[in-house]
Amino acid sequence: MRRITRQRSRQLFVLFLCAVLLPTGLARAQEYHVDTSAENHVTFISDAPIEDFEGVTNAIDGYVLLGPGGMGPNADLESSQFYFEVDLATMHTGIKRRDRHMRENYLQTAEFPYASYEGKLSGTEADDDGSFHLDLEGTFSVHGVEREKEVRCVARGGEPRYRIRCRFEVSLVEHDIDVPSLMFLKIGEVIDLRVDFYVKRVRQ
Amino acid sequence: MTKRLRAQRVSGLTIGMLLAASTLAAQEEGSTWQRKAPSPDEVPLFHSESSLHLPTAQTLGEGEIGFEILHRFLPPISSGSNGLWGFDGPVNIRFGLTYAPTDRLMLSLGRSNRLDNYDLQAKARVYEAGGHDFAFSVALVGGLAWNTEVPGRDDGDALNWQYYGEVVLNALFSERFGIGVVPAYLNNPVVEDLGRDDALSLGLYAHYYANAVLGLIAEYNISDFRAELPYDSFALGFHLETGGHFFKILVTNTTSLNPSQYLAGSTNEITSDELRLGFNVTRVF
Repeated sequence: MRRITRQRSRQLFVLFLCAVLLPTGLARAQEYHVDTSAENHVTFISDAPIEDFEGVTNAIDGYVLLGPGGMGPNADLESSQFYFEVDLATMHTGIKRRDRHMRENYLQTAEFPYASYEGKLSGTEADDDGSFHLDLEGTFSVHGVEREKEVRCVARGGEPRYRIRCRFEVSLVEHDIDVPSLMFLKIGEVIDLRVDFYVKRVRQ
Repeated sequence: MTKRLRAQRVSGLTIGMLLAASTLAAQEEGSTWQRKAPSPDEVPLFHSESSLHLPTAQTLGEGEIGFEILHRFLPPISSGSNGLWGFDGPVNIRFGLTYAPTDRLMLSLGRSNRLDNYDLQAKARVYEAGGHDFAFSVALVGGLAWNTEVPGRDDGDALNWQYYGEVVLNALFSERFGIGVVPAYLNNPVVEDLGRDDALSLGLYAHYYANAVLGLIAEYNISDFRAELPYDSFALGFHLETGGHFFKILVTNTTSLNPSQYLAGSTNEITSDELRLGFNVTRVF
């Protein structure tokens, strides 16, 4: 039997280290940022007894961090992160007076300029058409009050760009947004929030 | 250096570099995202485009349409329960429609039933500066009025026409308390007269925004003396603001609504016996 020389054993050891360490070093997070040049839409819908109206803005920003498995079946959910924020001072309802009323009196955007949602993915599910259903869990913050929230979104597209759509409800009372009782006839107590935006990969 | 020693050193360096690279890669966590500059704050202005009779420097948003109805009950409050404190009427009434082609310009057409006065007006906000603690704004107003029911005169008579100009100066403190100063010029203040005249006036008002809905307003218009309109105009009221609507309830000694009839003064003295009830309702679309 041929003996393995000391030099040969050292070479094998170095090769073994390469096999173990390099993949670990190269298994990096995938990072996506909101594409602020795209046609993003954040819409809130107020449905009240005597008046319905919508507020819209395209000023959404933030990022998504995914593990090496991306959103697919091998997604590393524990290492995922996301953070999205909306500049509330840019919301428009179609009536300037109502915009100002909303910003100054209810949302108090001078003190709380952003609504934000941050957390991690709790689940992903691929659809037959190539889209992904994403389950997000995290903390939603508006008017300086944070609440735990789970949201289900749909991601469509392909590398390096995805379109993400989400829909969820926000209770004004839960976020200490003080609306006079008379105004609840004109502003819904629960706001329907719809988010439609694009993210693009910035690194892998 | 022997061949063996050289090989050992190369192996050691290789292992060290691999370990360093792997460690660095593992430490590359967290996002590289950074927040962009926030949108600039708007300069706070008065909430409504008008006080009780006088204009503010506020304008409608581009493309918006405003509609207003103003009532002044002609019998005074002192008429008591027999006249339902003035609610029995009659009334002076104004309807107005406003359109904003830009955020800084408003065009208004209004009509009052007193002498069937038609009023065409333009208001331009020309300056604003400041922030939450203090804000200052300036607007210019110009208008043309046509009175079509002057007794004993044809509609087209040149003496039926009036024109006016106003400078609106507004200051807002902590977005709660605002004051306005409105110097004005009016040509042909007493349209029933057989000759033209000029009138100067100085309007003053103060607004207090108590909360998101309720505000208090006091207004005084100093006008130069003339026999037909010997008294200044005074008004005190409150508003209810709902974002798209303003409801203003007031008491006042004047029953004139259109600027060309209001600016030159009142026929009623500023006493409790001469105060009338009135209301203004405005809606923005």
